[in-house]
Amino acid sequence: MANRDYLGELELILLLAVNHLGDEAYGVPIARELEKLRGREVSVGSVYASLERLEGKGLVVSSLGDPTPERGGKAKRYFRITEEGLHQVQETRRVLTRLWQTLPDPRLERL
Amino acid sequence: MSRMEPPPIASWMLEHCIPGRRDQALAGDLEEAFQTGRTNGWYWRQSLAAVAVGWMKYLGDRTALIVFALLWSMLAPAWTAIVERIQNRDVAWPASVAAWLVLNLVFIWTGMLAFAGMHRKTVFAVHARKLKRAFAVAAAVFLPTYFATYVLANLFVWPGIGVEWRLLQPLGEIVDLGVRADVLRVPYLVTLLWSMWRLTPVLAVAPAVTVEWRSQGIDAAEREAEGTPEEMPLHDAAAAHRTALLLVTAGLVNALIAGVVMCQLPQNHHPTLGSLAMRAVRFVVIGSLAGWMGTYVYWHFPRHSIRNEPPLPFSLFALVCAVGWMWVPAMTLFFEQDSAFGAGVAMVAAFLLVWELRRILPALSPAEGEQTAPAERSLFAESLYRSPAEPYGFVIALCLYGAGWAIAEESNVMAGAMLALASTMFVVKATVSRRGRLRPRREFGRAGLRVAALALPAILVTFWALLDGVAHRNRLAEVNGVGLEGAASAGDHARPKKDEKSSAHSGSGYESVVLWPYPPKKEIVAPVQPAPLLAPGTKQPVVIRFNGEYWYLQPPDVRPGPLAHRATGTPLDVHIASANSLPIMMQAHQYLRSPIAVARCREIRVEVENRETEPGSIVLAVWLKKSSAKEGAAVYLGEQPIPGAGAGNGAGTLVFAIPAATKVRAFDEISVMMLPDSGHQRVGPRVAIEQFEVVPR
Repeated sequence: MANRDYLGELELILLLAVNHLGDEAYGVPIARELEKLRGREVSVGSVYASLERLEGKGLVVSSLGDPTPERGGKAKRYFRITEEGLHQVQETRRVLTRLWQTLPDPRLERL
Repeated sequence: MSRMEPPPIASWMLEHCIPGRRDQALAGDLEEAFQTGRTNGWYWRQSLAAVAVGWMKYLGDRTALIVFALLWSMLAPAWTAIVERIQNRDVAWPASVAAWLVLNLVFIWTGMLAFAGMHRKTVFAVHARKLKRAFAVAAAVFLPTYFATYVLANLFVWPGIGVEWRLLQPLGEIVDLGVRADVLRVPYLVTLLWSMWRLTPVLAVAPAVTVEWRSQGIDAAEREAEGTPEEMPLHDAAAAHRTALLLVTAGLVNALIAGVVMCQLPQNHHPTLGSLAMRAVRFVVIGSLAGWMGTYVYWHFPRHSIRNEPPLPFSLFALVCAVGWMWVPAMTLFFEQDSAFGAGVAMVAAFLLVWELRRILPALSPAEGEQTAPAERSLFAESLYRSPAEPYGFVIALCLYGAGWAIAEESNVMAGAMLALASTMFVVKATVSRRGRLRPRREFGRAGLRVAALALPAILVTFWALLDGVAHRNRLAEVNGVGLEGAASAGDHARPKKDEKSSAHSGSGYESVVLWPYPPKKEIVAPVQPAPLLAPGTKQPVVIRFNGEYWYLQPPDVRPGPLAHRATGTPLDVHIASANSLPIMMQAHQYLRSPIAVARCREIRVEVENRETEPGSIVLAVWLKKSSAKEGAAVYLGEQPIPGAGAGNGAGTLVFAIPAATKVRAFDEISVMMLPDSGHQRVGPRVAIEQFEVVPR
C-alpha cells in the first residue's frame, strides 16, 4: 500500500498564507493572516510548530533574516513555499473542488 | 516596568523553558507584536502556549521511543526473575554483582537493538555511531539509576520491598502492576530513555511522505471510457484494517466484561443438568449480545467515517463477529477455575472470528503483489527469485511454545492470549481470503447459518465449563473443610459465614490461609474464679486456659483495628504471611469474667508451645489491662525471648513479675504480643499460648 499523508486544515491555510505573503512570510504576518482568516487568536508557537512540520515534509523552507532593534535584536525567520508544497496545495484544491461539486444546493432541494 | 518591555518572566520562559534547539525567531516575533500594542496578557498567553506546544512537539517526536521503553520495561520484572534463577549465589560479591550487571545490560541492550532494528533505516544506517554511544551510556547509567531507585524505594516504602525472587514466575511478572514490579521497572525505563533520547530526533526528520490523493491509480480517462463513475474511496486497506480491529476489540472487551460480571457459576452446589444447560444457553446469548453492544457503540461513534458510509451493514458485521464472541463466557468460566481449557477455547474463538472476518473484509488479506509467482517470470526467473520473508511463521511457533510454557506454569490467561494470537496470525497470513464483490444478502444467510451451526458447540462447551466449575468449587470447599450438607439443601445462602469471616482479608495485606484445619471442638473451660485470689491467705495459683483470639496486625496499627486479621484456629496449624512489605505482629488476648486486683498477684506464668522451625528469636511481651479503663491504661510486665525458638522444640514457660503498686488497680484482660526478629517479620510466628498461671502474692 502506498504511504499517504493528507494536508490538514491548518497546514493548508498555512501554505496559502505563506504563498500569499511572499517575501514577507515570517511569524508575525503569518499569525496575523491566520487570525484574519479564522477570526480568533492564534498561538504563534503552534504556527511555528506546524511550519516546522511542513518543513520536515519538504513543503516549505525557512531562512534566518537580519536581527532588528524592534525585535530586541532577534532575527526573523522567513518561510517560503516549495514546488512540492505548491503542488500539494493545487492538488488539494482540485480534490476539494471536485468534492464541493457534489454538495447539494439547498435552494434546489426546496423546489 | 516600562510599557515597551514585555513581561520579563514570560520572556525568560520563552528563552529557557522550551526544550530542544530553537532559534530566537519566536521570541522576536512575540516581542515585535508586543511593540505594536499587544497587551501583557496576550504576551503571557502566547508564551505559555509556546512552552506547551514546544514540550508537546518535543515529546511527540519521541513517542515511539517512550512507548517502546514503557513496553520493554514491562518485561523487566520477568527478566529479573529469570536472572535470579540462573544466577549462581555461591559466587563472591564483586563477581556476582558484575554478572548481575552484565545480565541486566544484556536485557537493556537487546531492547535498544530491537528498537533500532524497528527503525533501522533511520538509526542504523545514519547513526550507528550514536547507537554505540547509547550502549555505553546505558552501561554507565543503569547501576546508579538502579541504586537510586533502591534507596528511594526503601525510604518511601518502609522497611523496603522484600521479595522472594525465587518464588516469582516470569510470565506472571509481565502482567504484574503492583508497586514492587513498577518500582523495579523504573531503572530500566530511565536507562532506556536516557541512553536513546538523543537518537530519536533522527526519526523525527524522516523523509517526507509523498502526498497521494488518488488512491486507485486508475486514470480518469479510462474510467470515462469504461463508463464507470469516478470514486473517491474514503477507506484504504490500512484504515479498514484499523477500524475492523477497533470494532472487534471493543466487542471482545465488552463480551469479556459481561463474561466476568454476568456469567457466574450457579449458587446451588448441586444444580440439575437442565438448569446448567439453560444457564449455558443464556451465557452464550449474553456473550454475543455484549459483543454486539460494544461494537455498536464504536460503529456509531461520530468521529468514524465508517458511520457515514459503511462498507457493509452493521448487522452483517455483528453477525459475523458473533461466532467469536459466543465463546467468551466459556473462556472466562474456564479461566476462573484456572483451567487450561480456557486457552484452547480462546484459540478456537480467535480462529473462527478471524476466519469469518476475512470473508467480509478483503482489506485484511495480503496485497496482490505479494503473491506473485516466480514461475511467471520466464527470463532470469531463478536468479531474480527471492524467497519471501515470513517472520510470522516464527512468531506463530514462538506463541505456541510460549503458550505451552505458560500452561506448564499455570498461567492460563497468558497461554490463551498467545494461542489466540497464533491462531489469528495463522488465519490472516496462511489462508486465502475471499475474492470478488461482497454480496450482503448472501453473506447474511451464510453468516446466520454459521452462527446457528456454531451456537450448539459453544453452548456445549459452556455447559462443560459450568459442570467443571461447579465440581471444582465443590472440591475446593471440601478441601477447605466447609460442610456442604447444609449448602446443598439451602443453596448458596447457607454458605457458612464463619468461613468468610475467618478467611483472609483480600485487601488488607494478608495472604489467604492455606488449608484451615477443621475447627477444634469447643473445649468447655471452667469459668475463671478470681475469688480465691482475692481472699487473703490464698497460695494456690489460678490456672487460666487460653481460649481467646489471635490477631494479626501490621504497622501503623498497635492494637487490633478494622484491618487486623482475626484467627480462630491455633497458629500452630496455619500459615499466615504478609502479602506486602510490612511486617506482621501477632497478639493474643484473654478476657476474664471478672477483674483481679493487681496488688494480690505476685507473678504470671505464660505457658507457650513453640513449633517455629526457622532459626531466629521471638520475643513475647505481656500487658495486663482493665477493659473499662481509659485507652492506654495497662501494666506492662516486660518482654522475654521464647525458649527454643527456631528449634521447634515444644512447650516452655515464661515468668513475668507483677509489681505491687501500679496505676491500674485491677485487670480483666491479659494481652500477649509476639515480636519476631527481622528475619521473620513477614510470617506469623508458629507459637501458641497454652495457659496463664496467676500466682497470688
